[in-house]
Amino acid sequence: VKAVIRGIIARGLVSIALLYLLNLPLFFFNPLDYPSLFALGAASYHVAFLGVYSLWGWVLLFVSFLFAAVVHPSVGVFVGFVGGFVAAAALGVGWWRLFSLLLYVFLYVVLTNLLVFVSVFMPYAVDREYVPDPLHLPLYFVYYATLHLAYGAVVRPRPLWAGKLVF
Amino acid sequence: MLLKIGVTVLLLAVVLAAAGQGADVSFEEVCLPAKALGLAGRDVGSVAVLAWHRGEPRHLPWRVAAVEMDVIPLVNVTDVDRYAFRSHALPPRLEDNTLVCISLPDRPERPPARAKRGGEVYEIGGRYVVISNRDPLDPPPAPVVAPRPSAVEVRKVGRVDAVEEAPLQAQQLTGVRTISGGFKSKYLTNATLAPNGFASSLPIDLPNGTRYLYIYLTNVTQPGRYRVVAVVADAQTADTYFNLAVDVVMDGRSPYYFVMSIPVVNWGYSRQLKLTVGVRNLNSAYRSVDVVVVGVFDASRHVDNRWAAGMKAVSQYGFRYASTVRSGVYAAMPIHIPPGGVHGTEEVRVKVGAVICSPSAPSSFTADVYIRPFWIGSVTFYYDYSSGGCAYYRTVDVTFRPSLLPLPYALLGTTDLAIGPLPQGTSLKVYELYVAGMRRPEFNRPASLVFSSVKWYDVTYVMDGVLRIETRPDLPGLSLNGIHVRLTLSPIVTPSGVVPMRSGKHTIGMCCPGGPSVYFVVKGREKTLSDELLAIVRYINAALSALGFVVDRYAQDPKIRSAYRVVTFAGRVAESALRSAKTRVSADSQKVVIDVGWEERTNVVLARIYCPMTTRVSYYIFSVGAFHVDGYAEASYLDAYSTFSAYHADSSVDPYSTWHCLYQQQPYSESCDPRYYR
Repeated sequence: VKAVIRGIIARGLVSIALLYLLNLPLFFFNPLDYPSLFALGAASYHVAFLGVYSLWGWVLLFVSFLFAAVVHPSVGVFVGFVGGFVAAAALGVGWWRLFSLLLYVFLYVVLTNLLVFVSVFMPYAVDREYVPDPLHLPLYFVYYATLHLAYGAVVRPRPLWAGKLVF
Repeated sequence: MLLKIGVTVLLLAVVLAAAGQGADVSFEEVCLPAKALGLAGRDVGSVAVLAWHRGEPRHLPWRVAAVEMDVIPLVNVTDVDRYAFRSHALPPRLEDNTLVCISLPDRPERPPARAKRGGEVYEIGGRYVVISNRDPLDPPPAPVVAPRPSAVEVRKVGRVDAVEEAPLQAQQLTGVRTISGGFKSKYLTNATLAPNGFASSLPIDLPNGTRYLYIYLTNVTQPGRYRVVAVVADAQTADTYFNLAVDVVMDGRSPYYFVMSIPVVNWGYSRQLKLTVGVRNLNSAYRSVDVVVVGVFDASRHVDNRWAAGMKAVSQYGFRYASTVRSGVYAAMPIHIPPGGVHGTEEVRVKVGAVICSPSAPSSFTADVYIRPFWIGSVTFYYDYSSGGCAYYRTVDVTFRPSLLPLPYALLGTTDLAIGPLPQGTSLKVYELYVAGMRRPEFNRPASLVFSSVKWYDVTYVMDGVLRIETRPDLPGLSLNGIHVRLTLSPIVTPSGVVPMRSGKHTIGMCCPGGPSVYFVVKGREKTLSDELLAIVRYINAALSALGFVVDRYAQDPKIRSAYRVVTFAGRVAESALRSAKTRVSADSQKVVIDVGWEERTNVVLARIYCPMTTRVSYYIFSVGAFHVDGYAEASYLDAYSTFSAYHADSSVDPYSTWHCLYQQQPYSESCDPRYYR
């Protein structure tokens, strides 16, 4: 049990590290001046979780940024946001793909609603709605740790560093 | 009534007749080096060129060879050199070989030995011209691009001694000031004339106390020959005081063309005068003409308000600008000079620093300040200190008091404030750079009904774009009901392209006691992909925020409610990203926020705000606290204000606004209502 908990905490930490790293460009450059960065922001919330298990998560990030840069920033944002739910299917195999997708949507809805509700009462360090606030790190940790816990228990995807790429 | 119609018909007939006959004066331009006229070393703004006609000294149109300059907009973008463009200005001083082009009348009289205007008399190609010192109300020269010298004989043939006369300035002791403004007739604004075609304004009322009128053709006029006729007549007796037809040639190489001045001051007091201007096209093809009449008037000191245009920081940070890689460029910002300026109150404030990061940075350098095309003065940047391989320079804080008017009205009020030439790699740091002065909202008598519908407050803030704020009172009777505010935020436009504004919040600190109502339009807005996708994302978010009902039930705080409009992480980012594509305007009792969308950085935003008063007041001072743009370390503050006061309006006097209509875009409407043009 301890090993499992340690594994969940580790994956949770990896996810929030990814989340803040992926959003670094948005901290340094105002996305209003460089609108393609919005795609990174929208996709980052999904990729911080999916990217731990599947290269499709990273493909999503790349594709949404590419669309933002080449086609239109809005398209990138849309692909980053909506595509994340679809990409969750990559975590399962066979019929578990659909289950994985539905589970991801379900957890996303329940957890984000609860956590954003909590975040209303929390202070902000950066007054920008486009980036994850550093002071809200515990919230994101709870969010991602819960996702990892649920997926570890039900879908059992192998993380990328486990050697076998889940494609 | 019959007399009025009679006078109108008579005036139009006189103008038409004058335009049909031969011209009284036909100009021919000659270009000579300044040395030949004894003008070498003289300040361009200190010279007047006169000729005698019908026993009176008259201003002659004259132009000076323009100096070329490379101009960059004063904006903080990294590739500022991309927006550089080539332009022109009048030189600060006339050099020996600077070409001066004078339009010589065909039959000038020999000037008398003594007259009210003195000066040196020259005979140029057999015609007499007097070079005099410029009086503040003399028209300044126009710049001309690449003039060619004329082969004509010039000799000095004597001088005219000025006769001392009772100074007109005596009136100023009793609180009378000189103000100026411009007028455009709808019949002579970009009017297309057939070959030998003719167009005329309707008779224009001259305000009591008119001193001078100047008639200019703007550079909207196509090159060619034109006959310009002006008639001033008495509305009561139908006596004609002034009737002159002048033939001029436009070559398209100047920003404005002075045609004639009308010294109404000689016979104008206490008479009801009307001016009619007509233009005949003397070319064999269709031509567009565009006329502006500039006037200088005596007016009592009545609701003088302060206008300003530019930028002003109050802390040590200032506004830092990107460096230019070119050397010798002029950095310029667009400004707008409103009509009704009180002469002698204008000031140009310069407080700037510079940073040059180069091992070969100079120990000091001098830059000129222009209200283009006019030179205003020079400032010296002296070395302050070095840090990190960069040399820092400062100027002494200077306030210039130029005699600007009536020049800007010939430029239709819009010009730019330029500083340069700057050494290569200079980045400017601006603390204060603005033009300001006092103005009167309207030329009519203080009881005129028109005061309640004209612009009282006028300020132009220049940051990443140009924000113009104009206000007019809501004055139905003896109390002020509210204030109409018109805000226009536009990007800086150069001949090399439009400089996009920063997207994000542009905050205007403005007290609006009763809670404002806002209406805004974004010009050229189009429905884009962002709108379609935003609708979908909103729909998804609404579906995903399944627990929103919890918040609806328990969160009464509006702040929490607004945080809950979107309650998912990625959804919130996606929705706000798509929402921020479009410009939005919001206002509360302390501020107006124009949130420029990332898709609309080059669109003009026009916001109309109505601020109701919470109590009945008869007096209210309006000013804007500050203008702040997200991403700038500093807000801009300009000392501009207007004092709104309720007054007894008399609907029988001066019921329409004339001399402001061109420059005055009333806050209510999008533009000046042509029904009020004459």
